Amino acid sequence: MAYFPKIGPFYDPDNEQEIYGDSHGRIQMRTFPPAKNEGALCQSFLTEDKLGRNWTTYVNREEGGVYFVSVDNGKQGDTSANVSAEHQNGHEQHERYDASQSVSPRRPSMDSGLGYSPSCDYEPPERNNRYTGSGKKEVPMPRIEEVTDFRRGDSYDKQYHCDQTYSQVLSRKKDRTAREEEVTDFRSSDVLDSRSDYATDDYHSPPFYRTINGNSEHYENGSHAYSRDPQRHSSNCSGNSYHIATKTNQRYETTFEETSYDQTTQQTFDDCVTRNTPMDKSTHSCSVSDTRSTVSQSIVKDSHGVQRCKDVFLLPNFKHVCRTADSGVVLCEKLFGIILFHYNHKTGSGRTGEHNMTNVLRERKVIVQGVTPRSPAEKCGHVHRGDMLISLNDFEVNWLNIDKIFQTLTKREQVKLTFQLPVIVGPKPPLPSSPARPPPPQRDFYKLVTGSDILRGQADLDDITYSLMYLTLSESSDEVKASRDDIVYMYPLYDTKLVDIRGLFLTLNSFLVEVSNSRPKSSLLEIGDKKINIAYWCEDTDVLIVGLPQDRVPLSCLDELLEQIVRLLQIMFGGLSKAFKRCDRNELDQLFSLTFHQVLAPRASHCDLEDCQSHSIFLDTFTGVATLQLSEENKLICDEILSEYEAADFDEFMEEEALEERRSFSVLGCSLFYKEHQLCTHLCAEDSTDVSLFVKHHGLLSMMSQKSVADVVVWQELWPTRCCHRPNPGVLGYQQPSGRWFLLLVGMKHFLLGTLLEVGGCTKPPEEVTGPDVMLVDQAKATLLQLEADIDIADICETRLSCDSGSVPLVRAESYITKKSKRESPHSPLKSPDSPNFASTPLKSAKDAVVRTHSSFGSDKKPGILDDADSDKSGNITVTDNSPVMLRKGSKLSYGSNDSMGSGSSTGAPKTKSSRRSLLNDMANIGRGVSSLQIEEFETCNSDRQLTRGRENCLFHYVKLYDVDGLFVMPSHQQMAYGAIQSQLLDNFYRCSILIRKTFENSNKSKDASSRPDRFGVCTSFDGVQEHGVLFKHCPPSSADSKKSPPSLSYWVVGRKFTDGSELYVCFHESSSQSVVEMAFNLNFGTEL
Amino acid sequence: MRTRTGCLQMAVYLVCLTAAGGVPIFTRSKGELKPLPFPVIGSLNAVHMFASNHGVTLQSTTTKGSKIVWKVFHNSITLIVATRDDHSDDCHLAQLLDNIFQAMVLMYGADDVTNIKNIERFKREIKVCFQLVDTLLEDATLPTFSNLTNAVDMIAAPENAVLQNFLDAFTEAAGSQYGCLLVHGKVAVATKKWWLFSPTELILLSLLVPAMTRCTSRDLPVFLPQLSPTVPHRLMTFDLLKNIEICVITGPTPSLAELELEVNRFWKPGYESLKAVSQLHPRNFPTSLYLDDNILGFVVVNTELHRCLCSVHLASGQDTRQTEKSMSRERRREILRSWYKKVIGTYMSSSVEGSDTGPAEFCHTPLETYVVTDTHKCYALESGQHQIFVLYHISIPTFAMRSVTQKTLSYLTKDKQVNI
Repeated sequence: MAYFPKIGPFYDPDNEQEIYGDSHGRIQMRTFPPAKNEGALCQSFLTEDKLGRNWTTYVNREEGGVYFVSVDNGKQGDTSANVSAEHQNGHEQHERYDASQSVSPRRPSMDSGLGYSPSCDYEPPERNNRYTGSGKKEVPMPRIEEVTDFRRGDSYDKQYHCDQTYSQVLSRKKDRTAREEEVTDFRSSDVLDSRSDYATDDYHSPPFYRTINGNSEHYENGSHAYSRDPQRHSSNCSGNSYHIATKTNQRYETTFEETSYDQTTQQTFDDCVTRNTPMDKSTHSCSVSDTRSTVSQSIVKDSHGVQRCKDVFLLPNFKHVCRTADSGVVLCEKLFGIILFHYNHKTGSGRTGEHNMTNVLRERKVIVQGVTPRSPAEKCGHVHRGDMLISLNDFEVNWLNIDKIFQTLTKREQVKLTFQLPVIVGPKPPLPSSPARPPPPQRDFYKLVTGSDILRGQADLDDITYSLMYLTLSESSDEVKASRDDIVYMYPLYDTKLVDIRGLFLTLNSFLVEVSNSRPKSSLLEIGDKKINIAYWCEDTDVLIVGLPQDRVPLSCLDELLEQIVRLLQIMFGGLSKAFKRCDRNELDQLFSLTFHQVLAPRASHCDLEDCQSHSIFLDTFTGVATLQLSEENKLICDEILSEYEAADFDEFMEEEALEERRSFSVLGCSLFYKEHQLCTHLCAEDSTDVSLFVKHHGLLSMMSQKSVADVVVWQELWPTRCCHRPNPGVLGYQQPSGRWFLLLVGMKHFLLGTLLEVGGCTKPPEEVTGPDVMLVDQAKATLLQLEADIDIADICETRLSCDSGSVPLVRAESYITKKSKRESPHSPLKSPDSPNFASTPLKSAKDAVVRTHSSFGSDKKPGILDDADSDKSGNITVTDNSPVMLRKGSKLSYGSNDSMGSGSSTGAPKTKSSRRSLLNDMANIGRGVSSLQIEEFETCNSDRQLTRGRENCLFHYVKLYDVDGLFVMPSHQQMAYGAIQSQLLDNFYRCSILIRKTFENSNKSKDASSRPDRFGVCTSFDGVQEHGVLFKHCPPSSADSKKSPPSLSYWVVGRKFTDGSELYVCFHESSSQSVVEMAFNLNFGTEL
Repeated sequence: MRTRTGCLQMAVYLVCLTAAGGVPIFTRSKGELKPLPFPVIGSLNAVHMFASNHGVTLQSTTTKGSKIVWKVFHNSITLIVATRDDHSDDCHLAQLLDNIFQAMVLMYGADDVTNIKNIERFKREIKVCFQLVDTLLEDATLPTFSNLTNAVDMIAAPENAVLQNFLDAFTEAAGSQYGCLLVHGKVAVATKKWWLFSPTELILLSLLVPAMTRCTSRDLPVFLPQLSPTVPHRLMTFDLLKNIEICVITGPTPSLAELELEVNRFWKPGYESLKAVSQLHPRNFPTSLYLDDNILGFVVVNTELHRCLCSVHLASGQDTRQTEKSMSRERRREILRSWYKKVIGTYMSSSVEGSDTGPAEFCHTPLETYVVTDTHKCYALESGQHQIFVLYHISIPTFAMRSVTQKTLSYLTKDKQVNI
């Protein structure tokens, strides 16, 4: 054991090996970049050895004092190190204790047991109490929880988060400035909470002071040493980017029992876990009654103030006991799972009998170092680190008699253990102004994601009429309207016109069936001169309505939006009525404020574009997320890493005992997101859609894309569409499934890993599993880190996003406008419809294009494309120049006869890879002429592999939608060059795409409906729509000299539906002749997944 | 004349109530629908009134497969229509209600319609407009498109120039300036003054004549909704040949009998021309114009002159083979109607009120659009004052549609015989 004066007595190199040994498997193999630059990456506890060092240096560098950070975190990363971590921790404690004895001259008394400073263990009951507010008042008696801060004395903002660990501390320290503005302080409410917690615990009368190393260090109790001063506090918060405290804290206890980690781990979750599980109180009571133990606490006043003792009754576990051989300490551990501090470190035997200094032994406290998992002590939940064992069955225990006392325990009966709770000394916390407990902290998603308060966000939207209401008719009393009984839920809370006329919606909902055999779907209202669209979702007599102004959200988008909201509520709460009638208002408020913010508020200027308004709306209404395609190689690695994670093969990290148990969760699969893109998913399509829907609507993706986050953990019970809402489509809503499903989201930097977990089947029975599995969270983080380490995936993604090397090149609309004037021949036949030959213009343009490309053939040719030996290995496309054929085609085209070869097939299925290649051969004849068809191949090894043919690029934009998979492919923001006209063009593109998409949908719907005739008949004119296109023309306002007509821009927006269900929307200049477009469609414009 | 097949059946409810009290005046329905129960009619009206009491106008509501549109006219009449939802813009149903209201005005006079004094009497007397209203509700089965396009249907015969002289002479003889020759409800020729009528008047008049039972001559008081909504004029029609009628709008003189004597004198010389025009009936445009074989039907609309030309009978006699293998005329008409509804109000605008809100959302002007389905292809194009909507056979290559459409439009609009 070494004692480092500057560092403090907590560092034990001897034990380091145990914690940081070689047995760590894959985790250790990963190398992590140091918490550099943006400091976004939480320097995780997984990097134990580094952490150790970092921690040291960190402490050394600190001018103010020692920041004691519990090493407990180490074991979160690695369960095999769990015990040893505890062990080491114990040493630290012990040493600290020792040191304090020797160093601190001012310590007035050793007897009171106040001298030691247990770390980290005392939170959970506290929090329980705080959050539940009632129910367990006696349990949470804070045993410690007073902060010692000698420098400032303002301990009120002490953090409860023992672990956020170093990582936060470290990264925070390193780039405090960088981080401070990065993420908002979403934890202030929590801080206040903890403060009032103190306040209400009026037993604090800290009598003792002790210092270590004089005034340069402050010594503090468990939870947390860092984040003392407000500034640091805020940055701490920023690091802890997703803290959402929860109202269902009882669950933590369950978690605790089940995962059997030190309670500090719970705090991890407390800090960062979002829990949404709608929770019934019974779970809690259940978990308590399970523990087969009772606790009584007494408060004993002594001369120094208050100290508390507690009696814990435990049933000893004689399973592994071989009585004669063991010492008291070992017995204590085996019988009760209580690990006591070892004093004799060299031998490690724990025996103290040989010690000659009996007096010292007598004086020494018997202090709990930790609790082993799944032991009686752990299950009862009332024995914590730092507790001092006073007596056993009322026999006083000290180091002299401990062996004997434990050896006398032979009977299988409850043993009464009396502990004294540690008291931490220090200045008294400021008294609160009001003793009332504040309401539990809200999960403030909104603030987290948008950076502003909900109320402010609402104020921003004040001038917009919008509303979401869940109305019910079930209590059909006459005074319903007056009494507002009919409103189950509404957002926003203030009255709008829509709230006044809610009777209208209910009435429509109830009687329209008699008119048309079906429930209302949407309405158009006119309030003043504003047109408001209303969308309905009917469930029996209840109706959910969403009203949004038409100029902001067209009806087609609103429909889509409502569908998404409903689906989201179904997967989050198990059903609509359940969501609105049973769930926490605040949770819904949060959700809807975010949704409306995304839809209505002008998008933050994270990208330098003005158009984003409509852009965002239309993208939002595409169900699904954009996907980013990695190269084959990287994708493979990515898949492998995720598969490894999904295999949940964590045996080597688990203790043997844990292995015997059934698993809590089985992993169904996971999805990996980078910024706003999905990198890969191992979930089935519906689940994947569910996950992306959740992530999207909580603003997580947009948040991740804008900010680099340190640590995000979200834990959410889900009712996946596939499992809960499909089998009985007639009855939407929650039906008791055979299991439960949970979504675990872990985010780091710009990455977000969503894991869908199932409880049921081969796992533990669902009732037992309620909390997040620490191990899984750790493994998820480790997976993210591994991705980073193994293939530096962030770099790859950025490269893919930023340069157009990997995807279809686009052109800006502006370039056409400016270029147009220089062109020799206008291409738009529409400009001169009166000219006699305008119908043959396409021919002209085709010729033109051929001539031009012909002349520029040599220079156009990219090296390494045509003569790429293995070009067709992966479907690389090679097209050679052949202008005569093109001419022939062109003439046919302009003739417009019914020579329709290929048109039938052209609208058919997209070519498969093999047929694609055969198509290429045909295409070789067609030639590279006509202006600009780009076919692109996603880079395999060489990013120069893409082909761009033709002198002029004419593709403005594209979106390929894989509806079934809930994915779409589109150019990245960086690729889309923005300008005034371009953004208008994009706006049009999205608007039009939505309309086209609606057409596709309707054409399918009427097919389905044909089996059940509607009362008014079915419009079948547009069944089976395959393709729909619109030509737009933009004429800039004519300039002063009217002789020369201003250059105009004409472009097509075309959507095509493929037989496999995917849809492709493209926007290209009209100068590309349609026959070429036809080919391009068959090649998917290079957006093949 | 009107064929009904199952697939074309589009059921409609029309409810007319007083705006003030919500008293039902009449309900019409089309298709096999059971009559709406009284409480349902009450509810339909009540929701709208409830909203307007709160300063909110309930314009339309869609359900899965149906659409309901409310509209109040002059604070006197509320019209509610419920029909199938064809995913088109609301403006088309609003226009239907507009036309229905104007039809009531046409037959009953604006004064009495906007200011109902005796409801019971009004209920009895408004029945005069039922024929016209029912025709408007027929919509899908009408052979003409005028009620949809808000532009009167034409028949473009080469003989029109000759007939114009006959018509002018006859109208003059009737002491009027308003005269028109209707062939199967389509305007062959009309006097210059006749073209000054508003589109609504043109359409309603051309629908009114074929809507009524056939007779050799009639004298009917009509209120012209825009030109003279309160003072009735006399509409006199004379049957020249089968389904060829001459209409004149005159003042108090001459009497029907007087004018009937003149008919033979004026029109006998034109018999051959009239017969030729009559034979052109389903085709509607000169046989000399040859259009692409793939075209199954088209509608050309002149948005400024409010005329439209449509045809689904393009193939000449020997091509019936092709007709058989492709879709029926009624189906073609239905698709063209749907295509028109789909485009207008969403991408393009017409003279109909409210049809420009959809296109206005785009910051650039949509000029052309097409759709490809399993069974057919459609193309729409706007060029100057003309809009053309073409239904193509599935066999046309998609890339050829554009040029064929452009060519067709120029062909039709440039032709001397087709005066559109």
